[in-house]
Amino acid sequence: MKTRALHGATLAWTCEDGAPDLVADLGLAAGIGEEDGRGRIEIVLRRGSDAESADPALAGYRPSFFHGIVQAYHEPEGAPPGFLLWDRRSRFLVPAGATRIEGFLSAEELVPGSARASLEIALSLVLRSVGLFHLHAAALVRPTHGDTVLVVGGAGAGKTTTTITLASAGYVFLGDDALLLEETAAGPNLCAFPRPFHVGPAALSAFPRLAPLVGPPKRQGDKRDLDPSQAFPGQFLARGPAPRLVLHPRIEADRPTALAPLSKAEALGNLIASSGGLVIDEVPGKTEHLALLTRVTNGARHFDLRLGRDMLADPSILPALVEAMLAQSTAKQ
Amino acid sequence: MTEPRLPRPNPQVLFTELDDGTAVLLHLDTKFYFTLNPTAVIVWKSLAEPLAGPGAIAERITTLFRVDQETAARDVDSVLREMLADGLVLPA
Repeated sequence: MKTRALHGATLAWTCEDGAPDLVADLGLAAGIGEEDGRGRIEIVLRRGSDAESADPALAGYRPSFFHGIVQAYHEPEGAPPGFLLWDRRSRFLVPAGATRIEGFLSAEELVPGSARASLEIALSLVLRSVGLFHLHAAALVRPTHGDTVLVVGGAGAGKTTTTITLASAGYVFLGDDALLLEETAAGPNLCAFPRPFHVGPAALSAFPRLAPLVGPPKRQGDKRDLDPSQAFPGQFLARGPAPRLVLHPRIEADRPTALAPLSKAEALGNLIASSGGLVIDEVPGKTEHLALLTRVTNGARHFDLRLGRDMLADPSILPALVEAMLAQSTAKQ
Repeated sequence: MTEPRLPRPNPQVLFTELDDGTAVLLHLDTKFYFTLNPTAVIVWKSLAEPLAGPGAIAERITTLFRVDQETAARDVDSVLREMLADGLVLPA
């Protein structure tokens, strides 16, 4: 059984019957962060049978939520509680109250990467039990002052464009799409969850040096994978403090790039919308999760970031705006 | 004349107040969230108190904000109707 650290937890996994190492595919083969007492999370991956392709609903499993092609179910009536994740070929079982995942993997996928995505969702459910809460967001840290900038928004909002622009200006990054939130005695922390950046054609046109580093276009959409360790060597950070500034980007190409203050209610609403696990029925830690998001909201200034085409022509616009806001925050302290 | 009774908060709704006076309601059944401005925050918090009715909430709002009684009463009525429509509160 392989073991690696994952922000305080010990991830222990095994691949049986020639099952692929999806944990390594998640980017966790080298581990990330320290082992500091969150306990052990076990993952067993093995080959499944043709029966895994059958809709679990036929066996009485109750639909819970879905993410892309991955459908989640609750246990059938009377069975021990837990989640079942199904990508129409492979299944993952996550028993309630246990820090264990069991995967039954098919040799084929209807959508490439769907089994890995299922495992990531299963892992995010288990991580809640050990105090790590998934957040769909990007985060960077200004190296000169150590200020964290969180970037919150749905798919296509401009998180990656913002991340690449600030990383190109020297900021270190935790990720462009997925983070974990933890509470500590000193306040909330952001923890990195390794993933390739997903870069669209507009960002590539603004940063042509990245073009040779990206992978082929995805089957769906026009985004390409970019290994951030190649694109920005030495700029990765595994863990950062709570943000002082939260950007809520949206693309409005024909208007100039600008920041506008956002109320904390709107900001918390966006954070909730980027925290899918918070609204899933029967998941642990909802109160702690919402309290954590509230502390992050109260501890930062929030701005609507309107991203215009002008920023792609002159990427220095965005770091200048962010620097000005961080300087204002410093002056007010 | 007796005031209409106030609706009661839906127990499936989580209320989170923020330090700029705004707040968020998260409906755990519908999964929708709702943002509240400072006036709506007063309305929501008043529902948990033994106030006589919407008029008493409007009275409170006139003392906290620069708004006349008629406007406050209209706002309270509007907020309560929206909260009822969204299932955030339940009929008295």
